[in-house]
Amino acid sequence: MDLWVLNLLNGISFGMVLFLLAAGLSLTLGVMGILNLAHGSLFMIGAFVGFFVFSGGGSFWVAALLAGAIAGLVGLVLEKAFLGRLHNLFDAQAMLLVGVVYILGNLGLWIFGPQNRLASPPLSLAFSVRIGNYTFPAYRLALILIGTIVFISLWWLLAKTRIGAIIRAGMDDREMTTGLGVNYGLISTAVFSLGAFTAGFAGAIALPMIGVAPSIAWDILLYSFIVVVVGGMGSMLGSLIGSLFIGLVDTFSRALFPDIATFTLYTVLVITLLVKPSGILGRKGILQDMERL
Amino acid sequence: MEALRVEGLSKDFGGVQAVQNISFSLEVGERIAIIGPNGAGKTTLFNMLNGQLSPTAGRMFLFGQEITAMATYRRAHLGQARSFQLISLFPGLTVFHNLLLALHGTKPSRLGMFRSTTDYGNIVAKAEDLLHSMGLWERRNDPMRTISYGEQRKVEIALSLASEPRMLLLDEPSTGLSAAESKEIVDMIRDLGLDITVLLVAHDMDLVFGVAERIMVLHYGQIIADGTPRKIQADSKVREIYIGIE
Amino acid sequence: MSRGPGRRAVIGYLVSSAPYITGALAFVLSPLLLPTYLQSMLTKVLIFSIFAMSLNLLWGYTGLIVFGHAAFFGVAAYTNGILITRYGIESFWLAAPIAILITVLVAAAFGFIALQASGTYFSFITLALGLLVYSAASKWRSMTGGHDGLIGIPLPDLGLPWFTTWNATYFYFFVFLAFAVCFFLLYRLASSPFGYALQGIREDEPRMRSLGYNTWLHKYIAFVIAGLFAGIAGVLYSHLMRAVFLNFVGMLTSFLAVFITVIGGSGVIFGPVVGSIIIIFLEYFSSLYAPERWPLILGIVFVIVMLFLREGVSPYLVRVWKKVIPIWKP
Repeated sequence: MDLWVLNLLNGISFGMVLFLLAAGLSLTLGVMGILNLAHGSLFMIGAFVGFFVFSGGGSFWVAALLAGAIAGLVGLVLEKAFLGRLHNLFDAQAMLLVGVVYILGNLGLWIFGPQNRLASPPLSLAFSVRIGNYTFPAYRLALILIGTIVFISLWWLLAKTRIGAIIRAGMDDREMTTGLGVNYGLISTAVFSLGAFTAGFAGAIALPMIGVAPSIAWDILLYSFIVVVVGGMGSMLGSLIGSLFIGLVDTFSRALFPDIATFTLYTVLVITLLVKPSGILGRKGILQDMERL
Repeated sequence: MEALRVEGLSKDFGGVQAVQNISFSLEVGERIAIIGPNGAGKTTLFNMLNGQLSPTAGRMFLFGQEITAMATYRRAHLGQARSFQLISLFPGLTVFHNLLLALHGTKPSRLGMFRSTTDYGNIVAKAEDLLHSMGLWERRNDPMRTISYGEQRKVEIALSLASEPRMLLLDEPSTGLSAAESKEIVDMIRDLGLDITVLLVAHDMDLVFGVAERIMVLHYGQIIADGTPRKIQADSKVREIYIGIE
Repeated sequence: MSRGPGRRAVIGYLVSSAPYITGALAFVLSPLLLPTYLQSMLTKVLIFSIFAMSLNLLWGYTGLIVFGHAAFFGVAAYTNGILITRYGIESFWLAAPIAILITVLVAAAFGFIALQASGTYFSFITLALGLLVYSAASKWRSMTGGHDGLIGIPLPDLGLPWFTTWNATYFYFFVFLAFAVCFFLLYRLASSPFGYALQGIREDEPRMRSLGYNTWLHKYIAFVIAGLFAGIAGVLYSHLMRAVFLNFVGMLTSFLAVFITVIGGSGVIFGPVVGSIIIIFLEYFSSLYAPERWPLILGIVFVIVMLFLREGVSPYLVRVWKKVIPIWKP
């Protein structure tokens, strides 16, 4: 029984990390119509920054925020200098991002080397909490807490603020929103950079759990994609549900049948795409947008 | 003989009833225009007739065969063709190849994978005829995106005539055209044989009165008037809608 | 039938094939001028040309963005290698067709699954299927050798009594022959009504449906044909490398085909060939001076192309050739 509870906790905390990634990816996809293939690379950048600041003696939290900031900066540069030049050429943008992934990945390999680096949880969280009959590592609980806070913030931003309303309108009908005089370019840049920030931040705080190596970029990207598809694009709740679902599926399948664990994820993806392509809580407008063919 | 019959056709977009319980039938050779204010449901109706949208209720019959759930491409093989309000051509291909594409569409040759597309003599001949009749012979090797809007409009209609359809759906065929160019479209339609049934949606009253022998007026998804142009012009409900709005 | 049009047709035919004949001659004569190791590189160029041309059928012609195309390349390579080394099927004329047939079956299955969706979702599925194949290949160690790969694949056994010893040059000509046949077939396909229909689907699929085309069927057939030619490339590559490794089904191989197609130019049938020459030679130079930095170099080149040279290199070549023979059309 203990094993189940442990995996439940691990699945949920992993899911929360995925949520941080998926939220950014989902918003970028919904608002800009771009598949940010470099999202995993931004996670990787955050993880590397976080690792070196933290293992160099810095505070875990400062490291995480710095990681997010630097990743956000890279995202900003990407959007303004590169994607901005390929306005509305979605396929070209996607392919450009593939090139960027290779550049960043190889740079990561060059600077940091191929080995995976783990960090131990920060001292502030290196204890266990007793709940009922079980003891949980505080670090994992902190991840869940952080994820929840981010979710509530993002949900509130989208649902209750004017900017959020603009973003949601843009996701449903981009042309109309620009026609209403909204500076869509500014919003796009902001959304993209925010997504990059959360990705970098997630990379840093996930260090004790996942570690970092250049190869993480593709792996975590795939997870994020699966979450976005399963959970539905543009919906924060959908991303949360999707992330938790995938986090649990992944953790449990690795515990129960490690050999075919990866297959389980792909199967979930393919089934979702065939049965309910818009995902659990996807917005219809985005679906039509994506079916350009 | 009946060309098209529609029974109780409805389209519900999650709360918005775009088309409500429409029924009508067209005889072979008739020239009918559907008019109505913006948002009346004309394009939705066309999209259902064409197969791009599935109705929420109702049935459709083309030359006696039920086409309610039939895929768009199959309706083309039954003899239906459609032109689009937003010019729907192949911008990256030459004018010539646009026509060839349309001409192969309902022929078994469309799946031919070895012979060059220009190798099919009778299809090439028809394409050349169409080019000459539209005055586009000189431009035949130019990319479609480089010819003028008015010429593109003509090609738009030519593409839908390529399959020698028996039922022609024309969606706002004179959009964006000058009066002179619209007159050319009117003549083009009037020259069509009586074995072709023409159903057109239009805002351009000159076009409508130049072509149609019967007019149906659509308002909020329902047919509120159906008759000869004279009758429609005199109809009080119709006057109310148009004059009320203007 | 007067002589005039007949002769004109022949001249027209010669004019339109002139660049291809020139290119073919260049390829055929190059072994006389190049050292052996460069001949192997040219062999690789030809193989990746076939692979990239198969991808271009989907990307450039039909407008279908597929990831994971290396799945077909790799499945064919692995099957060929497995048949030869584990099942003792030595004859090329038996192993290769079986490998290609199995690849086509896989393409038929994958195409059916992927084409249940369209747009971005379609691309997602092809990505997932590609990664699935990679996963399967790395786990099925007994068959594929996992991360160590499948080694010991000899050059093709053609069963010809008068030809028993291979060398790099002979293999180059063998691959060139395969390439020429593939190029010819793909060229005919591109000029056929089916080929133009694919372009029509890329430009305006709803219009195509209104014109009578069963666009789903066209896309599906294109997908399977692309898998077929990718498979041919895979079989040849397994012989060139004398081995099959996991990266044959990896993401980099899939993206290499994409890079080659885009850099070469997706608008013309020979675009991928040009791209292949450029990329493979770039890779070679990179391997000499900075082998670890190849993905970085490739990424930079690709980003530059995407920003400034989106149509690829081929339009410039077309322009140059048109200066020589103004009436030529690709």
